[in-house]
Amino acid sequence: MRRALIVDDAVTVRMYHRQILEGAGFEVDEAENGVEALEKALVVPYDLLLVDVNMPKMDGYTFLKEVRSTPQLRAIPAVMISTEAERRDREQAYRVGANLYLVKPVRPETLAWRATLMTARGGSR
Amino acid sequence: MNPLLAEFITESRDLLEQASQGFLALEKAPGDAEILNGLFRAMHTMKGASGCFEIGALTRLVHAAEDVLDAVRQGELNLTPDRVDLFFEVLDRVGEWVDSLEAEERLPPGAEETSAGLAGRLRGLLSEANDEEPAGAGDAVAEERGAADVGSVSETSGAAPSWIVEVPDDVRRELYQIHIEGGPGTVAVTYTPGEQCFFTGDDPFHTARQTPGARWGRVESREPWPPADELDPYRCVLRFHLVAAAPVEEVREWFRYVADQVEVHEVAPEEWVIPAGPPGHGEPFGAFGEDARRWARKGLWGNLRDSVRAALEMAGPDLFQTSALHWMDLVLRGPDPDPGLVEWLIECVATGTLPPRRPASGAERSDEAKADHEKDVGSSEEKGTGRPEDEALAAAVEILQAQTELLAAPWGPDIRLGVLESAAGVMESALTELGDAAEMARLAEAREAAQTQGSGAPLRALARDILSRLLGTEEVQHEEPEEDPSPHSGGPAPSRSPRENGATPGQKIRVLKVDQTRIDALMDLVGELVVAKNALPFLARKAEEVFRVRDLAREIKNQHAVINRIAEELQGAVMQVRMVPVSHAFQRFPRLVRDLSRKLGKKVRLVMEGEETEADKNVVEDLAEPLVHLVRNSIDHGIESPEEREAAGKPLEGEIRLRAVQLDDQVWIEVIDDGRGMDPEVLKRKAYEKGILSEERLETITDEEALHLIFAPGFSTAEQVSDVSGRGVGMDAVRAMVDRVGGSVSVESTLGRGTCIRMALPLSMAVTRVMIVEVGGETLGVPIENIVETVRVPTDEIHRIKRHEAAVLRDRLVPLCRLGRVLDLEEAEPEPREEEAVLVVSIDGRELGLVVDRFHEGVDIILKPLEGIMAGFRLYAGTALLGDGRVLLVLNLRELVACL
Amino acid sequence: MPVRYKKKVAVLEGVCAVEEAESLLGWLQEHPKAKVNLKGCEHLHAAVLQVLMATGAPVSVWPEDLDLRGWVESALAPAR
Repeated sequence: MRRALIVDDAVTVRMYHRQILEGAGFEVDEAENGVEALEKALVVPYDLLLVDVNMPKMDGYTFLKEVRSTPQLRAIPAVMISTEAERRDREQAYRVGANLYLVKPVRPETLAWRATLMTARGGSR
Repeated sequence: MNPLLAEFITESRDLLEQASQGFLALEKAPGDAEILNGLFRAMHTMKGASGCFEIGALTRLVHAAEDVLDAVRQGELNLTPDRVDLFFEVLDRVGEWVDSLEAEERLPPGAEETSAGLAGRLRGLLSEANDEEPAGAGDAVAEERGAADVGSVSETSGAAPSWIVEVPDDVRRELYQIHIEGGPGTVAVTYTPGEQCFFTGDDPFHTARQTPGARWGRVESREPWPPADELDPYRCVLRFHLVAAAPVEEVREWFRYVADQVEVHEVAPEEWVIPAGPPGHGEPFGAFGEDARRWARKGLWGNLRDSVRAALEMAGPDLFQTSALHWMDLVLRGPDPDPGLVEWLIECVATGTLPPRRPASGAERSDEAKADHEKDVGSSEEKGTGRPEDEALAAAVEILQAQTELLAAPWGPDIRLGVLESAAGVMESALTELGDAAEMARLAEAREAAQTQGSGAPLRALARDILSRLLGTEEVQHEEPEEDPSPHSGGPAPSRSPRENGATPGQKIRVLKVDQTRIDALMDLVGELVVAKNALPFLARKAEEVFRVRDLAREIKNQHAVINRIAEELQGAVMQVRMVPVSHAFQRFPRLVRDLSRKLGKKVRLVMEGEETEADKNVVEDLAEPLVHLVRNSIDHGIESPEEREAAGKPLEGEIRLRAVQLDDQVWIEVIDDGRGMDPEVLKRKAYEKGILSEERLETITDEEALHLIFAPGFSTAEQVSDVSGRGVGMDAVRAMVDRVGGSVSVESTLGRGTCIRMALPLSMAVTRVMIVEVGGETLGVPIENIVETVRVPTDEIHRIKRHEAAVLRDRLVPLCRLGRVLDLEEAEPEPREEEAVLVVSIDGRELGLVVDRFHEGVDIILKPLEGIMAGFRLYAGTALLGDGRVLLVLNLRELVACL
Repeated sequence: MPVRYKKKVAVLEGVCAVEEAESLLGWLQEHPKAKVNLKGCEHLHAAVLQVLMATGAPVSVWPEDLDLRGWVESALAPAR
């Protein structure tokens, strides 16, 4: 089973993404902000991180930078999901190491397929 | 209800509450960055979460709020009280919509208009922001804002609105042609005029028709038409769609006065390309398809065009395929035909249907489409969806493109290894899923090279290579600069480090959310246990008196004590579950006080005490409404205007104190103001004038009793009915509400100094304790909270004053009431007694002695309201079942007093 | 006189202003079988258009003004 961590401060969004990812066969954990997400990611080997941008305590940019610079975390595929469709915002996401930038709300199929394709070689095989 | 929606509702309420608190806090600490960030984030979070549902009106409104708060955060806009008012209005509306989502799972009718109106006003603030001196003069942010303002007509980026398929084919072809021939650009406009627009002299139909460059338009109603006799001809419920060939700025300018009611979409030429018409059948189209595909693949546009012309000769008019051919003819006339578009049109002709468009003929495009995607959870019938292989391909393309972007992005050296490893991993995954094993070897090479060079270039080259193959094109869009970030430190990085295979930590649930009905069921059972337990003393007495086994009686009493203790603890425990802090009821007051005092031009400070005091959930819920009345009254009638206060030598700012205190099994909620107080004489006179007080009573009534007149029905002290506490809901309504939960309300007031209104409420409503008394052979219950004392009064100490009896008890003259007589329970003149059993009760600050035959024990009962024909007997508050099976009538003392 | 009421036909001509909406509505209610003649109509106020849409009164003659006809035809055509 592949494991995904959803990092978002909005419960509704977490639940929405959880439904999609669980539908795609992921085992899902949630974190409300970057700090909590880091704590979890250091314990559980996730195959995918789904990261919101604007969050209290630690935002998505900072979190991703932390992930990418932490040896045991840095290779985990990460999707940044934001409400902003601006070019500036996507560029910033790639600058901190996101592997994909999606704009909310994301169509279920869109997310499901992308998550699946990004983690096909991972999981407990 | 969909659990996702339920979650959204809960979350939204929290966020709205947070925002509301934030705005209030901000008034005390203007410009506080932390509060502003919190406010911004609350709106931002709501915007994001609302996107999961099809509630665009809500999303757009909180989006507007978010943008304005962002401007405030950037120091471009000040939050004046007027602007805060607007935000509160927004919070209120959104709160109502959330209620509506809960009740009906949709927004209320009219939400679109409300949203557009409020969002327009909010965005209007952004243009004011430009007039204000920006914090950092002339900085980039301000300039950008300015640019955004021109389009305060709501701008829709993303896919064209779906209704453009209804635009006749020839009109769309004309628009396409104008476009590719370098014309002014084409727009699609949706104009939803406000309902009240006719009253402001607008003719939206005229506005729509006269749109510059208008080519076609349609009008529809926003709601089903009512029967003609219910139609309000002056409430506009129309919506206009139109397309125009004009520069988008010009169209925006045209609609500038109704900017918030208009969506202008700048249509890209290819968006007009939608073949239409009934599909025809036949060979020619199939044959055409085969040829056409070949020409297209080789890029022989000239040949293709000839085929198209030939096919058009044969095709019948108005058919779907004919339309597609016309389109192809038009598209091929342009300088650089888009191969994807042409191929798609070929398929239209060959199959007679609209095949899904190529999923990603460019990264930008797929992103835009996504931004405008269906917001409905789960349901989506979109172009580009459909077959899984298409989905997978589209996903692979987007993922690979994203890796090229990531690999080219200017990341720092600290995350270089992470970027390279994760990008290589993602590429490997995508290739694995696509079954593209052949590329694996190349990937391994590229990864190796990337790591030794410390650069993304090798991986990126590979990704672009694969992409071009997937897309079947020679080039991939996005020409990024070739150079890569600093290639210093180049040691080969360890490949994907093994991670500990620790188990997922078990998630402990610390807080249980339990449906209230389950708690209620538990409470009912506890109530029954309490009552059943009350049967034991009867049993003990029976054992002793009837069966004469004193030991057994004592045993039963001992057991009763044990069960009693357990039942009490159980009851306490369940009560505890139902207890919530009264702060729930207090929450809304900072806002209420602020709004009201602003409206009335008074200065009022709100002090809240004891918010942590807990009471039963139902009590707290029922408390909210009377409290609002009381606080409104205090601000409206109690607190004086600043001038009046100054003249009276009081501080200009009045104070309202909301205080909650727990006393034994009661909660006292007090509303205390330091306003002008009430004059008992004035109250008496008014009550007399209004016929509430008889002349006789006028003379005997004490000042304290006079104050309680404000709770009498039909009594209002307001000099005039004011906007604030008028509308006929007075203190009598407050008392009725307090009564309903089994509480009482009292008032103290000192002229010129202020007023205190106290609601004494039971901690819990489930179980009532009553004292049983016997009158004329009947047993009656008297609520224990009203009982002051039980005394025996020697008959010769009872005085007669006119027709009434009274006794002096501890220096107070207490009027007596022979309960048996009032309730008509005595057969005849009772035999004279040496002393009378008197139960002294207090009702609204008035003491009264009830003369009864005998006192009995106090019991806990569950009061059931009278039903059926009994409901008319207002002297009784209800009935309860006693432990020995008898039904106990419980007195309603206030009614009793009223009919004396 | 932008609206002339005949026995069974309301004739709308020129530019029909907002004030006509209420009387037209009243007349159409009293004459449920009446038709509307838009031949000489150049423009009708949105409120008047709304009345025609809501009552579903059949159009006996469409406007000569083609632009207006394009707009109102979809809203007033009997296909509804």
